[in-house]
Amino acid sequence: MPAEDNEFFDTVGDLLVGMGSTHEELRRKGPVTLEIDGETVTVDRLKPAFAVNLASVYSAVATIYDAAQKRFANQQNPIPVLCHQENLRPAAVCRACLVEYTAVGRSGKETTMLVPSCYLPVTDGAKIKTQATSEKVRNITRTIVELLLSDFTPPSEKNCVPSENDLSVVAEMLGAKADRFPRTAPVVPTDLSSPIIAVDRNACILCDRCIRACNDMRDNQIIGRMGKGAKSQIAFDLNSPMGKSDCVTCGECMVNCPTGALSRRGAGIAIVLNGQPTADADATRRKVHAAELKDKTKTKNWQMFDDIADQFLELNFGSVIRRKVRRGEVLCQEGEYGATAFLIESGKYEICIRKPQKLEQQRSSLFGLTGKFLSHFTSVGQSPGIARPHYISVDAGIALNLAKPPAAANPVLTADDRLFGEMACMNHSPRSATVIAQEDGEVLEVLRNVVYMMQRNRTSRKILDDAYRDRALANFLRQMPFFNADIAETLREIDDKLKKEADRLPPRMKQIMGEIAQRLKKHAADVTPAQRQQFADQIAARLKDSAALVRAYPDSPIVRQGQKADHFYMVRMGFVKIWQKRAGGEIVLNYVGPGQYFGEIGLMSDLPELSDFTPAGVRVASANAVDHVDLVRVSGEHFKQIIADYPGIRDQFLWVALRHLSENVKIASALHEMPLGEFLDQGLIGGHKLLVLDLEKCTRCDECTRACADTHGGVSRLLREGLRFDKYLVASACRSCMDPYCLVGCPVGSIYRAPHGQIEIKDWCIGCGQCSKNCPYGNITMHPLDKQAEVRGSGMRATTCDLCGNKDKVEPACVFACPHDAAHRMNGLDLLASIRQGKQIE
Amino acid sequence: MINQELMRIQHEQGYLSEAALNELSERINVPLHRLHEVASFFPHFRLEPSKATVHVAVCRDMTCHLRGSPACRQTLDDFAKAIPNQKVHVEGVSCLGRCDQPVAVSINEKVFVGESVGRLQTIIQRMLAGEAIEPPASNRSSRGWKIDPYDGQRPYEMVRKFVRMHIEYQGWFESRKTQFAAPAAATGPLDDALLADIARVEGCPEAAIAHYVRRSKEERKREREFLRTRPWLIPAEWVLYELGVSDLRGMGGAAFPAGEKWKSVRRSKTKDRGQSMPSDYIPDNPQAHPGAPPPIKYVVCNGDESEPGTFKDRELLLCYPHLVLEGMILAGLTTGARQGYIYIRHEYTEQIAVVRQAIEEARTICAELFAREAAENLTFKLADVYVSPGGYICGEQNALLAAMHDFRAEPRNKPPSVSDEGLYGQPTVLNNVETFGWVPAILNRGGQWYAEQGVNRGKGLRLFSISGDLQRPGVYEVPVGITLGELLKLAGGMADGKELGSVALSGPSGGFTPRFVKLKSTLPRLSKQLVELGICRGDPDHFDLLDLPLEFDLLKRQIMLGAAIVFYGDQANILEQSLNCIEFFANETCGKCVPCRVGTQKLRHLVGEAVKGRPLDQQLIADLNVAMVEGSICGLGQVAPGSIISILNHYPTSLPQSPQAD
Repeated sequence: MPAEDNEFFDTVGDLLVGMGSTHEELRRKGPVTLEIDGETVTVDRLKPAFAVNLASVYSAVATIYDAAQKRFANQQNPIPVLCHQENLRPAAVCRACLVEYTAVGRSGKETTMLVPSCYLPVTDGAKIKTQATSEKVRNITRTIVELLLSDFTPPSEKNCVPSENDLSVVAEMLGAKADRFPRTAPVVPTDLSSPIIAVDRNACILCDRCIRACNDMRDNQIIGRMGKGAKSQIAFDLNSPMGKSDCVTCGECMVNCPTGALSRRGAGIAIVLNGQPTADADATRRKVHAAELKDKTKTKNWQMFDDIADQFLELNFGSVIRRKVRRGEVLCQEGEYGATAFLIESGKYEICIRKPQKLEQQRSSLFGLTGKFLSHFTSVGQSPGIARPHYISVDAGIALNLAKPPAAANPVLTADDRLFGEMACMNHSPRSATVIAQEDGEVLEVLRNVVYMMQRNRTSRKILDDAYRDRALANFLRQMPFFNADIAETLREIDDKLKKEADRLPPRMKQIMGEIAQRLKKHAADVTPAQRQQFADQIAARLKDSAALVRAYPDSPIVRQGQKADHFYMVRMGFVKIWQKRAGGEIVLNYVGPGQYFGEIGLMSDLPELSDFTPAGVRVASANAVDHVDLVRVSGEHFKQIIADYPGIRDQFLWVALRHLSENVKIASALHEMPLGEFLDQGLIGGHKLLVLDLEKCTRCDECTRACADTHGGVSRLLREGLRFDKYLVASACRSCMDPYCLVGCPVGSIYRAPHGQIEIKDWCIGCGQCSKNCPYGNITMHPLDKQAEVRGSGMRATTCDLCGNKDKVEPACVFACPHDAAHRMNGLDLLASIRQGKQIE
Repeated sequence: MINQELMRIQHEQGYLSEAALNELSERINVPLHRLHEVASFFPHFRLEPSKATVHVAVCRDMTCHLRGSPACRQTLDDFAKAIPNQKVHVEGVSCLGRCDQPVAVSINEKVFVGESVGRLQTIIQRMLAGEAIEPPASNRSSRGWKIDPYDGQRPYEMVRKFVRMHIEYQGWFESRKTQFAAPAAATGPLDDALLADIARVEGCPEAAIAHYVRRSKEERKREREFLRTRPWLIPAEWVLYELGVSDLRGMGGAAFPAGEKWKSVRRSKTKDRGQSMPSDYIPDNPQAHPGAPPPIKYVVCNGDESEPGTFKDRELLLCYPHLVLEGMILAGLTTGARQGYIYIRHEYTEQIAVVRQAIEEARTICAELFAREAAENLTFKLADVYVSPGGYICGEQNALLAAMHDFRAEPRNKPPSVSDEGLYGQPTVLNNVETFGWVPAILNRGGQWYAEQGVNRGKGLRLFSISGDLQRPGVYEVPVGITLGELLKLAGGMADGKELGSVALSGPSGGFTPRFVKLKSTLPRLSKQLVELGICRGDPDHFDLLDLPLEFDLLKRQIMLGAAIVFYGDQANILEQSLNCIEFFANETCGKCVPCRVGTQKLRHLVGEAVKGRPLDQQLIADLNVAMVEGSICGLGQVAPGSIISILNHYPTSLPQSPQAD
């Protein structure tokens, strides 16, 4: 079964407007089949839709237009659209997408009507006729387009660089004539108050796309519709000229404008990517224009840029650079952070892993420690800790087996592999390998803002998703603890439990645990470690195509207690809270972190070993995402098939499940005494460099704040206030989080994680305030720019603690300046350990 | 919230200053563009300060237009220009709902009707001098209409009856609890027991029982399931039954059976939307905010009567506000809705005051009735009058809701329906003032009684607002199915010795029909029907419109029949009147969808040229008509070309002819 196209979580139980059903209900109903121009097409009822800044994905109802997009995937879609845009919620105001819709109504009679295809949800058995087959539809839509054309004046090239005009394209498609209706709209002057964007309302067809883009997509809340009827216009704030409004010139409105009413004036954002690329054709680092990127003859990876608006690429000119690479040149360094991805144009690139341990220290340090930590005080982590991985995931298309360290024959990437480095760029994780050019070649280095755009569009998203799936999933699966658990260790645990809790455990449970121990003993004797490794490879191969990578967003429910158990989940990133509703209220049972899993009990409840202890087929507890969580989801059927085929693994699962069921109450009480919950809620556990002040030593002399201000042009980037835990104060300063939310959705890619882990904001920041809004801890502040020569956008810029460059072995100024040794930089786990042990920080 | 705040600022400062909007934006944490898009949408709000101290707005639509408003406006405008410092500002305004007393003129938001231009000038001058002049109060005395079953006696009897039935039913239910509790055994015999007991409940006629029995087994099963958890709902059966028998239609124009609408709201569940993503309908999901409205069902009464020629709700609200409120309360009790809003256009100041008073009274009575222990499951709260920020489009149900949600009053796409996701995204009964108004009479005298009031195959009674070149324009309560001739007779015939030339049967929306219609060639389907029914006895191509029965189903989709009928003398220039109708729509389009926003402007231009004598491209008009009818989101765009299409159909000779190239 190929993995579904649409994998994301919604707020469970929310009703979809107009559908009278929840997302889950719709998803459960399965796909629908409908007929478009006589050809059948089957589509899912839901499609992914992006919330503000692509910060989250939710599901929207798939519409007739979406079905047509699928049906005519590689051809021209016969449905013309003007006001519709793939990533915006439908407005259905232009009416160009009208189709004839025939379906059986509530009364049981078949009715035909004209409907906006961008808005109407797909229904099973509906018959659709587009303008290609219905004369009526063609006549009506043509008249509508003629109405628009009659009042339309294309933007003047004197003022701006207009992009392709969708209205002309649609007019040509429908054979619409511009002069059929007399012009009735007055001519209004072009608004040239913004240095970046020209606003020509004579070319505006009031499609509402810029409004939705500005408010829904970017949450800038600047553009609205003003006036009524024929006097309606788009307006900025209280109808200010664009340049005088609070517009931040992120360009989103312009990118979404179908007619060029909002067009680029020529100026762009001065993006300087890794050194000083020039526009010189012979330079080794050269900024690339949109035209070249989309030219099949000049760019091998043109498909990745095909759906990105020229206006965007030009506004962000410099976000894509063409690099001529010499033999032996290092493109990215293992362990470092990076904000770019590389598209291979030509050449061969070798992947090397030099210091395997470094990887564990970096990205995996969090789950390593947490895994230990959890098991330490509950005695039952969801999994028996993380065993040392036999494989590590590589930020490239190849899995490296560490058991055989890479020697002479390192894997090599060529243009067929398309790209590398995209995972570090998308997940904000460090590079997991070093990539070295084996011969002279060419790559396109692409900044994160462009990679976001690639994620938005159907074609390029699929390429990125496939790469992600191939590279991340297989490696991750092989790391999972149930493949690597030490059987002897498990046996000891069982033995221990049976001895210690002999009085407490129900006899039936004791008996089953005993049986499991017997079976595991036999298994250990029969199966060699090499064979077990083989099993792991087999299972990983089996799951690779069926397992789905899904994301859950802070607080969103993943499973609900009492619901049917249908999937098994493994956590790749982030934390999941497992909780139960009980008579006395809600009880948190556990926090599940990276490398751990949940959801297996409900799927195994029909096994005789568990059937006495848990209700059949339903969830015994709920799971909610604590922060941004990446999960690997395996369907219940596949999970059941695997535990049926591999009894050794089944017994491991059974033991863990039984242990949970026997100890749920105990866990709950143990967790309650710990500040872990609060720690997680405040995101401290994900903090990498918390500024912690020991209040017993701190004399409130404020040297730290002064030192910070002195280092950063007079403005302090820390605030000596914040959360208090015990005698520690976590001051408000950038924590360099493991999973920095602030990075998400920066329209110009100016905020990124520097190679040494600190968050830096580059000079081309347009001051849109997105990162500041994103930071849940208020650690990014917006400052007005001094009156500079070129004041662009909001006239503001964002600043945050950059750890004073985080040079090796050099403490940031705040820590260095503290005369009392009260200020420290540490990660969340160390702080928690200090609090728990009540000891001084060293 | 936004609307009220804007109204308050405008009231205090005379206009919405940038500073005030900035302050408001900060205070209520709403982006500037959101305030501006609302403030600039409703003509009621002024974004610029005005030099004028006296604002004069002359109605420019239909009847007032026919009866001399253009001349009146011109005279007043000349008069104003003679006053120094632009102290008086004269402008046109869309229908003020005083079509029975043309010309209607609003001076500083006080509407004066039927005044001579000289008198208006005096009023303006006195207002300029700072004098406060109130127009004479309207006559509030009873019209003696059958819609009022109480005739001065104690109102709200039907609500009382509902509560009594409820209490009795609950007592009965208590005694039957065990029987209900065993669903497996409760099949055949229970039905009989249930029926016998329903029969004993006061006022439940035999026919209601038959109605109950007619349902399929499956339906009854579901009904029982439903009733088991909601024992208080059985009196609702009575209401729905009577409404069903009465065949009461929505009186706002669509003539959708009211009982069906109530039933579907009753079936709909409230929606707990949580934090779900915004939608086209509620772009800013109100339930995702603190202080969000509770997820309950709502009742909304549409009193935004703004269609030219229509003023029946004005009279009803003025003379019988308690009937409308009682209808709303009964709708709430029947459907399980908990809260009711009555939405009234801001120009109806007298009505708003009267209704506010009636709401106070109704609240007291309800509080007393619902306070009884046995009635604890019954509750319905009447909110304060929602004063419309104005505009014809607000009468469109979804636009009305959008205005109540503090958005631009723009209609939305379907689905969802209002019954399913209306006010605040919850199931909502949304009916016209008159529809609610009929409910007490129907329940008091029985649905059968109401249905029998109709004539010529029509069922029931209704109100018509009739105006134009008439002796006695006004609101008339008549049987559904009454012929146009009888209606004209009631109004005393044509005024000033004019002959009837044309009739607009649905305000500006349905176009004009000439006195003598070429039925067979222009409306063949209707012609066939009328001949078959013996209504048209003579030549179907010389049918006297006065013989036409004004009945919903007969005319369905052939001639639009609204609540506003305007009679035109034979001297009226119908093409010019058609332009007037089109201008109304061109002024009132909300601008959301292309066919309507641009289409109405093109119509205005093309018909305007035709009035000036330029030949009309009939194919272009026909194409535009189809695009607007099929393409517009709401009814406004769909009916806007109606009047010019009626000219093409019925008055081809009134169009300027293109010079024939012989």
